[in-house]
Formats: sequence, structure tokens, C-alpha cells
Amino acid sequence: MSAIDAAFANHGYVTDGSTATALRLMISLQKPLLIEGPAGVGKTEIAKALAQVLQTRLIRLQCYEGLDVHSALYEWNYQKQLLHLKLSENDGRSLRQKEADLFDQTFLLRRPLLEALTDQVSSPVLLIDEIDRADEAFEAYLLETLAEFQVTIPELGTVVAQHRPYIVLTSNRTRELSDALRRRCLYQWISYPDIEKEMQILQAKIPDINKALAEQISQMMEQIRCLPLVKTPGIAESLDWAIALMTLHQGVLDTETMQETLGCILKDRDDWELVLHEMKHGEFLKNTLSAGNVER
Amino acid sequence: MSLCRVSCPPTTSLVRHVTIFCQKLRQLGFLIGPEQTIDSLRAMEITGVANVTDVKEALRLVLCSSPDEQKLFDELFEVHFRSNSWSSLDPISIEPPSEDNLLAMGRKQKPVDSASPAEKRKTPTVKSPFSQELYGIDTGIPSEMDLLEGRDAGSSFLTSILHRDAATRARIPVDDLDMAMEAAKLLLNRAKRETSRRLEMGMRGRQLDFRRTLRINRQGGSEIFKLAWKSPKPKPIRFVLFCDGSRSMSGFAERFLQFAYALTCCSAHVEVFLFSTHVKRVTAKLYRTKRHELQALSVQGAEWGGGTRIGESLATFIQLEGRNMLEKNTVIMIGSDGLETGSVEVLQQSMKIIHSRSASVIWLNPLLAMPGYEPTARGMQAALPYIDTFSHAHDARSYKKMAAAFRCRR
Repeated sequence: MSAIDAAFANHGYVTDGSTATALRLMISLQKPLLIEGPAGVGKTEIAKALAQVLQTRLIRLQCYEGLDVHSALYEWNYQKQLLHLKLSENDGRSLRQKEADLFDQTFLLRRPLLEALTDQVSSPVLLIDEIDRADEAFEAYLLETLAEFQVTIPELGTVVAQHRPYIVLTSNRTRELSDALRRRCLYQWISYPDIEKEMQILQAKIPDINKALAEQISQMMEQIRCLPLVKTPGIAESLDWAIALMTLHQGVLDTETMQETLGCILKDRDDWELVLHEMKHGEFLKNTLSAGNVER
Repeated sequence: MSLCRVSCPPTTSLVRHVTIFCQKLRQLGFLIGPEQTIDSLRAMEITGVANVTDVKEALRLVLCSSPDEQKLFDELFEVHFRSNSWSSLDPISIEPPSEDNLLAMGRKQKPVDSASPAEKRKTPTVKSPFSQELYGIDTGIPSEMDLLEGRDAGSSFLTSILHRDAATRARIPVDDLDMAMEAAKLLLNRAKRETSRRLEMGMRGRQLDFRRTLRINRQGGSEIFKLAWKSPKPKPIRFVLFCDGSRSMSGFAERFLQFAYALTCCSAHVEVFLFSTHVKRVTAKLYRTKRHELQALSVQGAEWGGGTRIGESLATFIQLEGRNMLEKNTVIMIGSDGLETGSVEVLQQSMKIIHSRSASVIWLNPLLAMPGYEPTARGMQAALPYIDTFSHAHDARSYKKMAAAFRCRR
């Protein structure tokens, strides 16, 4: 268990017990891993770190509304096919030969899913990011890949993976995923980190950060996340904030600096006002900040 | 690394226990088939059984598929694998899982803490039971009936959960279901449809569909004489329904749920939430229910009965799901009498956000059917400026009337 922790720590990713177990089982059971959680808690980062740890290729499929099988799996190069047809019009070959030529591998455009299944060297990491953004119809295309590690192309037949890819799916829970998809995956939920873990992450990602600032940021974020915000900031925002503060050469966080850099963590006007209000009148934000003010 | 504290009867094997555990979870609605049972055993083989935390995490990964299931799993795991009912040697007494944890949904997930204070108090007194029989083949698996009736040792807790649900169930009426279906279809038709970014094939359109063009024209040699086009597909309108489950709403709420069920039958884009003191998503349950099973369908939860905190429930919804579910093609439907016991400011704030980020807001208030009723309750007054369609609906026919009069704000 600690070997995985250490390997990930080397690549700047802080794992906890359950995430480490998830990765270990995913590798041993050869099952896809479905990761859910709020935005900005490092779901995508897991796949990136996994690729680095395993020293393999990361193939990423970003899902979006309207994503179809031709952008995700394969597509024929129609322009090239048409050109080929025109050029070979009068070469006297039989129809059968022409057709065989037309749907040859040379006209096949490999999209991420096919790319991941046909890797000749080693098992790549296939990241299917924000699967909830794709529509339900697309989920169905995925089932064959997820369960059998193969895809069926009508013109070519079934392509079976020589090296089974490590598949990581992420979802923000925009919609409920289908039971069929869930059943084929291991399931891991990642939520916002606690103060200690967030400090570790800050220190791992930004080695130059001083410990006091990291601690203050973590405490602050913990409190801000308890507020009823429209958009709760994730770890990505904490990191941005920490880098912003360091760029401004701020060793500690005080009221003034916080007001100036609030844009790093809050991306909504109402949230902004709520936090400013809390800073003025609320209890907890004030306490953390006053420590910074005194030190200054 | 702590020693294993999992207690099993000396006569049965681990395989049997895991299988029974999986069966019990399946009865509670977990998505578990034989494949998952096998996977959980394989997972245990990989993590080893020396550390109970590892075992728990491995099983949780394989057997759960949502945060709610994970919460329930954590408690059931404790009860199933640490229960003293299987071992007279083990003096551990089990505290039943808190109702909050069992039924509270949509809350922020607790950090996974393997050693809670309660656990630390319990001292391990049982030696590792996984000595020889680790993978012994065992066919003595109790039938589903045994499990349901609590004949199997250790399942009494589960049955108590099932029975407790019975006390807080809401039954959906089956009469007039066809009428409700008609109303739902009508409402779907009335809602204006946006176009999505997904393209649809057709003989007219804006974009050339190369794939089909080539297919169509292949029969004519290499000459292209027919073109196939793609055009944007109409985007389905999405419905988010909130049903007030407080005591004052009994009678109306069941009818509202019936309409919600009818909508789930007609559209794949419906979300249903129950609320009273807090909010709970029941979408999956409604979608899974077949029509002939409706008689037996019950919506469980702590949300049934009790006071009403509309504002807080809506605020929780906005915080957890709002970013995703509140879109410009979302129609919000709230069925409540507006008798708010929580903060009116929170209600107003939530309604403002919902209004600004949805296509239309429908509020159905059963009190409106009473002659002479004025929406003067504080909660109702706060919400009123943000409602597009304010109506009452007490039976399937009036739902149809409401649907016929419905118009999207945008």
C-alpha cells in the first residue's frame, strides 16, 4: 500500500488510504475505475499521476454534449477515400478489391478509444473525462470497451486490446450515470480534502511554499467550503491562490491581501459578497485572518 | 497495522459471509450481481485480510456505486462483519447505525475514517478467523426468503431497516394513472425545445454527412450525386420536481409523486426530490419501478412527515446539484403548501437563484383550491415573485389542466 503512496507522492500526488486501494485494485482486477466528486478535487489528476507512475502513455477523451462514436472511437477519412476512388476509377480492378481497399486501415482515423485499445507497446492509461457531460447514448457505446476491452467496427471486425488499458472515468454528477456503466466499474468518491491533506497537497505541488502560509490557506479553504456558495472552490483553486499569494510575495494571509486575491478562489459575484460579509462580521474567517494581521 | 477484528462463526467460511453480505446489499437496492461478488472476493485476495480497513475499502470499491450507497455500506459492514451475533466469544456490542447516516442523502460526504472513536473502544478479542477456510467452497447460502424473514443469523438488523421503512412509506396511487400520463405528455409537448449540439442525420440540414453520403453513393460507383446532411437535434427539456413530504401535505404529495412517476415514464430527463427538513433524491427509485410494481412502490425516507424547511432544502439542492441541474432548459416544479418553518430569507434567496437559472418555475399549492385562499403565508409570499405558474392540482385531471395552460418563460 505504501509503495503506491510513495510512487504517487514522487509525482506530486497525495493519495489517501482508499484512493491507494482503488488504484491497486484497478490495476490488479483490470477493471475501469469510476471516480466521482465535486469539481476541482483532483479526479483528472489521478489519471495523469497514474500514467506517470506506470511510465506509460495517457490518452484522454474529453466528453462533451454531442460527442458521438465517430469522435470518440474511429472515423473513416472520407476525403481521402473519395480521392482514392477517383484515382483508381479506371485501373481495372474488381469491385471486391476496390471495396477492400476503401476500408483499409490506411483510411482509418483512430480516435482516443481505438488508440487506447490498439497500443502495441504497453498498456496506456485511458482517461474518459467528465463522462456525465456526454449523453446517455454515448454511454452505451462505451460498455463494450469497459467490459471486454474491445470495440467492434462494422467494416473491420472486432478489435481486441493487446495490452489492456487502465481506464479511469471521471464524473461531476451532472446527471445520474446508467446502472450498466456503474456495474462495470470500481467506484471511488473523492470529496474535498481535510486541512492536513490539503496542506500536504499544497506542499507537494508547490515545494517553495512556507508551512505557515500553507496552513493558513488550508484552514481558510476549509471554512470557506462550509459556506453556502454557488461554486465551492476545490483544490485547484487553493493551488491557484497559493501561487498568486507567492507571486505577490505574501508570506502570510491578512484581510487586505485576501480581499485583493479573492478572485482566485471565488468565481461568482454572490459568493464574493458572502465571503466579504463573513470576513467583516463572521466569526471563523475573522479568527484565521486576525492571526495573519497580528503576525504582519 | 491492526490485527483482524472481523468475527465470523467458526463453522462457516469467508466466501459464505461475503456472499451473504452481497445478497443483503442487493436486497437494499445495491447494483450487485454474481460478477461483483466474485470481484469482491478477488479484491480481498489482493488486499489480503490482515487489515479490516483494507478489506472494507476494497469491498466498498467493488460493491458501491454512489456516495449514498457508500454511507449505507459503511454502517452495514460494521454490523455484518463485527456483529457479535455470530460469535459468543466476542463481547462486542453493536450500536445500531444512526438514522441520520442511514437515510440522510445529498449531504456532504463524511471523510472516510476507518477508526471511529466507537471502534477504538472495542477491543479485539477474536483471533483471525481466516485460517484454513479462507476459500472453502460452501453451498449453504441462505435463500432470499430466509434473509427477508430474518432466519439467517445477523440479518435481523437488515429486516429492521426494511420494516422501519414501512412506517415512513408513501404509497403512490395507481388510479387515474393514464390521465396522469396524458398530463405528463401534454406538459412535455408544451415545453419549448432547445436544440442540442448533437447532430442528427437527415436529407436536409446545415452540415454535410460524409459518412452517409459515401454510403449512399457507393452503389453508383465513385460519382457523388446524392447528399446526406446533418442538423442539430432538438434538446429535451429537463424537469426537476420537488415534492413536499411534510405531514400537512399528505394526500396531495402522493398525487404529485404519481405525476412525477408519469413524467419519468414519458421522459428520460426528470429529476425528483423529496423534502421536508432536508432534501433527498428519489429519481432512481421512480425510474426503476415498472408500472405493475407501482402498487408496491414506496418512497422511503426521513423526509416523509415532519416539518417543512423549503428554503434550506432548495439551498442544499442548489449547492449540491444546482450547477448541473439548473440549466436554461430546466423546468422546476415544486409541490408544497409554502408553510415554511425555516428561514424565509433563505427561501427567497433560493427561489431567486432557481428563477434566474431555469426555463420556468411551476409551484403547485393544494391550498389554492380552497375558496378564499390568499397566499399570505410568509414563505409563500417570499417565493411568489419568482413563480411563473402558480396553480393547484389535486387530481390527475387538474394536472392536465395545468399542463394545458403551461408556457415556458423562455
